[in-house]
Amino acid sequence: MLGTLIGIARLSTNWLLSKIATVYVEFFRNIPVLLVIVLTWTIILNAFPPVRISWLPFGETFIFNNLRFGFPSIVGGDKFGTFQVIVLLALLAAVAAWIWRSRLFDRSGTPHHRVLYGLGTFVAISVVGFIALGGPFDITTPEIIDRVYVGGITMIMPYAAVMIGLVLYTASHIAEIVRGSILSVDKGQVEAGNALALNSFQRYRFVILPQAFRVAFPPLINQFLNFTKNSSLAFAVGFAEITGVIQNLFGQSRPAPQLLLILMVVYLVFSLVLSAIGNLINRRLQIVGR
Amino acid sequence: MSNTPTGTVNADATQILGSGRAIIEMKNVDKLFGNFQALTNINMNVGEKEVVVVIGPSGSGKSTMIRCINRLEKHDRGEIIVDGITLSNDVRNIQEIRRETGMVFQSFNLFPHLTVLDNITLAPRQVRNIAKSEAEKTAMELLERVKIPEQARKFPGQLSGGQQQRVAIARSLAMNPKVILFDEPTSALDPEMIKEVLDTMKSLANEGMTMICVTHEMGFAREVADRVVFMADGQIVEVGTPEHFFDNPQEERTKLFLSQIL
Amino acid sequence: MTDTAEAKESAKLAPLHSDTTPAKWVKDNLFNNVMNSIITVLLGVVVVFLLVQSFGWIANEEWEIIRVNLRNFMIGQFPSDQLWRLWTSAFVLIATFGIGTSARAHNSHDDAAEKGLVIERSSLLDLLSRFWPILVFVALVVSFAKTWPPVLGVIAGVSGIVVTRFAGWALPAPIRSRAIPMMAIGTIVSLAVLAGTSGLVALSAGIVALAIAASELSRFFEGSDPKSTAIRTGGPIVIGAATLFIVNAVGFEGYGWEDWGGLHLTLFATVVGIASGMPIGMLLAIGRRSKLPVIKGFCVVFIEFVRGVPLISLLLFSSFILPLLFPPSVETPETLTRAMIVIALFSAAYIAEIIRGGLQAVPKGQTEAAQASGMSAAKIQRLIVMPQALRAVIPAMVGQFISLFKDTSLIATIGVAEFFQYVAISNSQPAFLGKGLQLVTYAFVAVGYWSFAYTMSKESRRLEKQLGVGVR
Repeated sequence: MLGTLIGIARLSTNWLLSKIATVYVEFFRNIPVLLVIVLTWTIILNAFPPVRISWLPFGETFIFNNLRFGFPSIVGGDKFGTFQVIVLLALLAAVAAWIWRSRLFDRSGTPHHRVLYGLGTFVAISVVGFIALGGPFDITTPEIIDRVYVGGITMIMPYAAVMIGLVLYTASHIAEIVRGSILSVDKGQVEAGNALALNSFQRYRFVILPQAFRVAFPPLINQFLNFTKNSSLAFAVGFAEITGVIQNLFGQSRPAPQLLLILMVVYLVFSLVLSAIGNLINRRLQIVGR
Repeated sequence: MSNTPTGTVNADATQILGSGRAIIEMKNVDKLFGNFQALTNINMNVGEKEVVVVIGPSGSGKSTMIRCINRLEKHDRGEIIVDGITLSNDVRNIQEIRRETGMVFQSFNLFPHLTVLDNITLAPRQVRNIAKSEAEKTAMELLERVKIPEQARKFPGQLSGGQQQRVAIARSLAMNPKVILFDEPTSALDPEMIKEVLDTMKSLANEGMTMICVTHEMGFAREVADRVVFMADGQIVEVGTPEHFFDNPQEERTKLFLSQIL
Repeated sequence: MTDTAEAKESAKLAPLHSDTTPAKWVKDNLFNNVMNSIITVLLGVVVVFLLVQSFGWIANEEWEIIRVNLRNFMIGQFPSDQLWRLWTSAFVLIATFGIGTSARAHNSHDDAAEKGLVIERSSLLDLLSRFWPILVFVALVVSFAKTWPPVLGVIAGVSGIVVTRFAGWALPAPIRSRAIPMMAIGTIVSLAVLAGTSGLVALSAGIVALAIAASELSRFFEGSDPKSTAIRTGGPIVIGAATLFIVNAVGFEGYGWEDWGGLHLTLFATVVGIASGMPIGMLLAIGRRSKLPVIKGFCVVFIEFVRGVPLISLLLFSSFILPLLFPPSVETPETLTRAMIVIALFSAAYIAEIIRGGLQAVPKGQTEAAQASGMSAAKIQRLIVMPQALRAVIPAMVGQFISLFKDTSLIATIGVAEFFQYVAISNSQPAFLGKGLQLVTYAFVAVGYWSFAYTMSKESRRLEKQLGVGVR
C-alpha cells in the first residue's frame, strides 16, 4: 500500500512531493535490507526509553519502551456475544446498502457514493447497538506489574523493528514497480480517457490502474516472495542480536542440520505455493487478445 | 518548419460554407514544442453539420491542430472556442468541451481490459450519469449503426483493426458529441479494412454529424468533404471546396503536394 | 514570407522557457492547485524539520569511532607490512581500467563517426556526474583519515584516473581494439599482487590467456585449411595450459583472502559472485532449455530450490552443515571460501533465470531467419540468439549485480568480517562499548553501500537508454 502511494507520488506534478518520493526510493533501494532492519532497530532502541522509565502517553493508555509496545484492547462484558452479532448484522446491512447503491446507479445513473453509504450504515448500526446494550465491552490498558505486562496487547519491539524495516524496504521496491507499470500504460489510453471527458480520478480508476495492475502483478508477487524470504533475517538480526537464540542453537546442539532443513523446506514450499497461485491469477488477468 | 517553398500568406479558413453557426472557432492559434513552432497563426471556423477534411504532408501540424481543440495539446497563443465555450486552463471548461467533442485516434486506443460494450458505456455512465441499461441500449444501437452488434461482449484484442476502429467511432458517438475529431482514422489499417471505416464515416457525414477529419484518403476528401483545408509547415496554406481544391489549386505548395500523391 | 519570418523571429526571441522566472517555477511546480499547495506546505515543514534534526545530529555525534576504525571498515585486518599489495593492486586496476575504458570510448566514438553519427566525447565533467556518489563517499572516507598515506593514495588514484583516461584516448588503434583483453590482464595482475600466483589466480590467468589466444589466433589464421583450423583450435588450449603452469610456477606468495575484510572484501565477494555466477548461470539457463530430461530436471530443481529459500539459510547451511559433509581426510575450506561458493551458486541461479528470460525474448523469426540462411544450430545460438538475449538482459543483470552487492552483507551473520560486520566489531571495542554509537556507524556504512549501489543503478539506467531497451 505504502509502495503504491509512493509510486504514484513520484509521478505527482508537485515537484517537492515527487522529489521526496524519489529520494526515499533511491535511498532504500540501494542499501542492504539487513542494514535497513538493524537501522530501524537501533533507532527504536535509541528513541524509546528503557523499561524502567517507560513512556506512557495518553493517560497511561499506551506503553512505549525499547523492548515492548503496548496498546489498549477490548475485553468483552456480559452482552459481548450479542454485540458481536449486532456488528455482524451491521456489516451485512452495509453490504446490502452497497449493493443497493450500485443497483440504483446501474438503473438510474445517479452517482452511487456506495463507500459513503456502506460505511455510514455500518457505523450507525454499531453505535446504536453499543448504546442500546449499555457498553458491552471494557477497554483494558496495558500495565507493567513486577516486570510482567498485564492487560492490553503488547508487541515486542524487535518484531516491530523487523516489520517496519521490511515494510520501508519493500515499499521502495514496490514504488518502483508501480511507477514503472503506470508509465508502461500507453499514452494513447490516457488521451482516449481525456477525449471522453473522464476526470483524473476516473481516468486512474477505470483506465490506467486496471491496466497498470496487470503489468505490475508478476513483479509484485516476486516482491511478496522476497518479503517472506527477507523476513528470515528476523531470525538472524531482530532476535538473535538480543538473545542469540538461533546462532546459539546451531553452535551448541546437534540437531542443527535438521532444523535448518526444516527451515529451508518451509520456505521452499511457501514460495512454490505462492508463485503457483501467482501464476494462476496472472493467467486469469491476462488481457484477451488474439 | 524551415523552408516554405512558396511565399504564402497564412490562408484564412474562417469562411463557413452554408448557413450554420460556427461550432469551432480558432483565432490566431500558435503552438510551440520547445523552440519548434508547430502551429503558426491558425484561423479556422467549423460550422454546424460541416465536414472539414484536413490534408497535408506529415509533420505539417494537422494532428496537432485538432488535438488542440480538445486540449490534448495546449495551444500557446490565440483563442479556441468550442460551442461557445472558450478553452482556458480551467479544468471545468476543458471537461465541458471534451464532453461535446468526440475523438477517434489513429491507433484506436480502445481500453484493452474492457469489453466492447464496456468501452462504449464507460464514459456515458461515469461522465453523464446515464443508467446502465439505458447506456447499454444506446451502445447496442450504435454498434448496429457501425454494423458489428455481434461483437459487443468481446474484448478489443479479439477484433480486427477495422472493427476496432468502428468500435472507437461508436464509443465517441456514445457521448452524443456536437463534433467528432478524426485523427488519421485509417492510417493504421489494412487496405481492405479502410473501406469499412470510411463507409461508416460517410454515413455519419450524411446523417449531419459535424466532423473534422485529418486523413490521407483523397477519395474520401473529394466525396464527403464540404471544405478541404491544406496545411504545410504548421500553417493553413489553402482552403476550398473539394472541386476547387483538387481540380484548380491556386498555391504552388498545394500543387506540389497533389502532384506527389495523385 | 514576411509573416513566417516574423513568426520565426518571435519564436526565437521569446522561447517558452525564457519567461520561467523562479517565481513562476514555484507557482507551476509547487502551488499549481489547492491540493498541491497544501501538500507542499505540509511536506515543506516536515522536510525542514528533518533537515534541522539531522544537521544537529551530524554536528553533535561523536565520529571518533569511525576515525579510529576507518582502516577496519575499509580493509579489515589487512596487516600493515602487506599494505603495499593493496595499493599496487588498486593502482594496477585504476591504470588498466582508465586506459581500457577510454580506449573503448575512443573506439566507439570512431565507430559512430564512421556510421555518420556524432557522439560527444565524454568529458571529465560527465564522469563526475556519473560517479558522484562514489566520489562523495571517497571524500567522506578521506575526511576521516588520521594519517597522510591514505589521503595521498586517494589523490594519486584520482589523478591516475584522469591521466590514464587521456593516455587511453591517445593510444593507437590496434592497441585500442584490444582494450578488453588488456583490462582482463590488468585484473589478473592486480589479483596476483594481492593473492599470489598459485591456485585460483593461475587458473583464471589460464582461462583469460585461452580466451585472448583464441581471439588473436582467429585474427591471423582465418583460412579453412586444416593447418589454420588446427592452430585456431589447438593453439589457445596449449597457450592457456602453458600460462596456467607458468603462472603457477612463479611461486609469488600472496596474502590469502581468508584474512581480508571490510569494504574491500565486500566488493571482492560481489565481483567473485558475479564472475563465477555468470558462466554457471549461462550453463544452467541452457540446461533448462535442454531436451534431455535428466539435465533439464537437475537444472530446474537446482534453480527453483536456490531461488525458493532465503540466502541466509543457504549461508547457515554453508557454515554449519557443509563442514559436516567433508570427510575428515580432506581439509575443510575456511568459512569465507564456503560462503563464496554459496554466493556464487546463489547468483548463478538468479542469473540463469535472467538469461532464460532473455532467450525467450528473442523473437522466433530471428531463429527462423538464421535457419533459412543455412546456419548450424550452434552458430544460431552463438551468433544470433545469445547476443540479442544478453543485450536484452543487461539491465536486469546490473540489477542482480546490485542486489548481490547488498546481499553480501548477509555473510556478516555467519561471522565473516566484511564491511557491515565492522559495525558490530567497532561497537564492541572497549573504547566504544556501550556508548550507543551504533547509529553513527550504521550511517557511515549506509552511505558506503548506497554510494556504490546508487552509482550502479544510475549506470544501468544510462546503459538501458543507450541500448534502447525498454523504449517503445
